[in-house]
Amino acid sequence: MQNEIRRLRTERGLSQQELASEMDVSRQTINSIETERYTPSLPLAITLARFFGEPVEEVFHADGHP
Amino acid sequence: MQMAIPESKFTRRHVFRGPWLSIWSLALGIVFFTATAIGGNLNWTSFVSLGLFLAFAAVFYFGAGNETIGGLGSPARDERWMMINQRALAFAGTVVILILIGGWVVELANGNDGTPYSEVMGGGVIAFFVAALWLRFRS
Repeated sequence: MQNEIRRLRTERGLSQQELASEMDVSRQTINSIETERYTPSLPLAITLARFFGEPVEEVFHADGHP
Repeated sequence: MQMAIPESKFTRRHVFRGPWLSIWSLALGIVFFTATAIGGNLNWTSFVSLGLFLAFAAVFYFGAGNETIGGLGSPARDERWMMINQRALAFAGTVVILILIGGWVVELANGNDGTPYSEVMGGGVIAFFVAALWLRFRS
């Protein structure tokens, strides 16, 4: 699933480790989300979107779905 | 704008980040060693096995700072590691099932009754259906 996590994170000057600590997940998990190898659960997706102050649909884009 | 992270972060951290795998490995090693001693079969392989259990416990205790070892040691702290753990468990379970079926067939072909493979497979099948029914009513 495409997402804007890397852009939003770098815009705020956060490292993957800092974001991972805030989300209570590993740095590898943040990296996997950013490289679209892992699709986060709905609670984590919502928490990420809230953290960046964006609607979840602006952060995550479901391919092929309207 | 950054917002506060809600709900159970604190709880999850403290419940799941204990050195559970190290404790489990240590306990298993001691139980194995004690059982061997009680059975009167204590020999050098018992000490080697105990050493392996202790080494396994030490790796997960002292290596917890490493993301991969930490993830393997306490996967519930991270949803991606939970997924990895479940898929790895399913793969390992599939391998065990194939080994059981192979052993069962070999036992039957040797003119035996398939014991203990048939009992283990029966227990596994029952456990699967009980778990599936339980999870079906819970979700």
